Amino acid sequence: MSRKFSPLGIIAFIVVLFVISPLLVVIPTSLTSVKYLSFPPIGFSLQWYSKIWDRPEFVDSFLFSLELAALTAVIATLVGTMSGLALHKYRFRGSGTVNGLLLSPLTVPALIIGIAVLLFFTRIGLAGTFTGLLLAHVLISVPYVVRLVLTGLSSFDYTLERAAYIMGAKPLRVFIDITLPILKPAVMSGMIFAFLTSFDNVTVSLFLVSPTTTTLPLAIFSHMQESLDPLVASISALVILLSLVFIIILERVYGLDRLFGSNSHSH
Amino acid sequence: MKKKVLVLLLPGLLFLTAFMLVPIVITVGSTFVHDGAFTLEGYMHFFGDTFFLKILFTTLEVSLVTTLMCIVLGFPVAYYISRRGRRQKSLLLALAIFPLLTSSVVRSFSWMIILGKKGLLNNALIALGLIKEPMDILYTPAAMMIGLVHLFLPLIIITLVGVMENIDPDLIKAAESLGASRFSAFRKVIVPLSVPGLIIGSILVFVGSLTAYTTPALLGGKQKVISTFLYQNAITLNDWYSASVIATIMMAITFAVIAIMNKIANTLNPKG
Repeated sequence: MSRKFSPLGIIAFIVVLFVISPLLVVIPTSLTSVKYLSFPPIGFSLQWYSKIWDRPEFVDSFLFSLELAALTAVIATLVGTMSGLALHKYRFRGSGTVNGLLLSPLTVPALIIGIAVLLFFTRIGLAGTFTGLLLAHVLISVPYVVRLVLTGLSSFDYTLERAAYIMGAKPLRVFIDITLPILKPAVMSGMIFAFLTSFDNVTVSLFLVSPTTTTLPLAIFSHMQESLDPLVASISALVILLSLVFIIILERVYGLDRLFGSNSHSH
Repeated sequence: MKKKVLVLLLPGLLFLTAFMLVPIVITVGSTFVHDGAFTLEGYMHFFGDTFFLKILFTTLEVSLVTTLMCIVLGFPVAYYISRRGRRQKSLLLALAIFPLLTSSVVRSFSWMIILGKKGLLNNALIALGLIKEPMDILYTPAAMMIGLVHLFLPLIIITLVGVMENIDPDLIKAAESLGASRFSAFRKVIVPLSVPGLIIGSILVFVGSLTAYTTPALLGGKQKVISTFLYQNAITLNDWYSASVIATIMMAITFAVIAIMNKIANTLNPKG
């Protein structure tokens, strides 16, 4: 098993390379000095990074996406954590159905959520508004928070809470001193996950954006459909670096293997 | 106690009901009503339309091939990762998960760099003397499938690693000490015990490919799949009725696939 070059090891190496190499080619491509996409890149320059700032559609949509993702993360974390706590702590009739409903945006394809929400928002006057986009992003982020909170609570011992009550602590004190510290890693990862879900989303946003509310992925997407130049590479490189920062935080706070372990994949 | 549950659950329940359940019920429901009467006209129209059937068939074919490719590539890697020590395992898993947390637009773009006319693949093949003129790979169904395999391979790897980790290594040792070769121990012990993970992973990949939009739209060129067809109807043609019908068909296929795969899982492993 510990031979250095087992056939299995070589296959694994090639497949892992297949998984990561596409992202690795983006950075060299962004440093090219020519006007077209080529690999290996020709020459060296940082011009495609400085050109980002000349394009208000990318700067504006980046700031817009940050704002949207941050708001989504806060609301989804609040709603998801409350629901997760209730589902884990109390046994009640219909809890299976409630659980199913809360996690349903994971099973129903995003494209269908997008069109259904668009049709609904058009009826109630929310289509093309910031509120509409925010609500839809919260909707698709809540299940991740719920699932992470449920996993985070799976080994929580409620006798700790009860002990605190017996000692005379008020409910809020108990929550802040006992429950919250145990929940913290799950809640924080939930928040990061919700942020990334919103920040990267294309499929749902596609139906809900308007000229004044365009997210960064959609700005890149529409630019790519018109022209393919190294500008996309420099923006993509920045997006990759941003994801990398969040992945490192996730690894520190929660542990990636735990985050994606088989236990958290109920579907 | 009862009141507390309600207070905690209310925001989530209201939210999901108002913005998920109600919109979907309205969208699906509206496809069966025309001029106030029940009708299947929309569905009859689509299932009688060879153009639509061709798109549907292509989509199913692409999803099936993507799923099979993911299994073939993902299985050995997952097995390799699951047998590594703790440090190596976390590193390999982190590498596999990294793309999963990166925007699908960026991931499609990286394939454009590799598969384009002046891309990595064409340049490499020309340098090796295997081809003289660059091949047209980008904007073909093949590019779409490569992109989809790349998109979903991490999912199947993580799911399989999760299942394989829980297989007792002593079982393999036992099989080997009873005279099984390493390969047949793998085939007779690891493969059957990985079936639950394989089924969950396949559902994720198949349904994911069936409904993916970004990758087919960016890499597939003129080749339409059901998701790009839905978008075209909804946004470009503003035909919301057709879009709703396509969405309902898509959802029905999704749930049918999940139900069938779960049924297979239960038959194979009744105690599951």
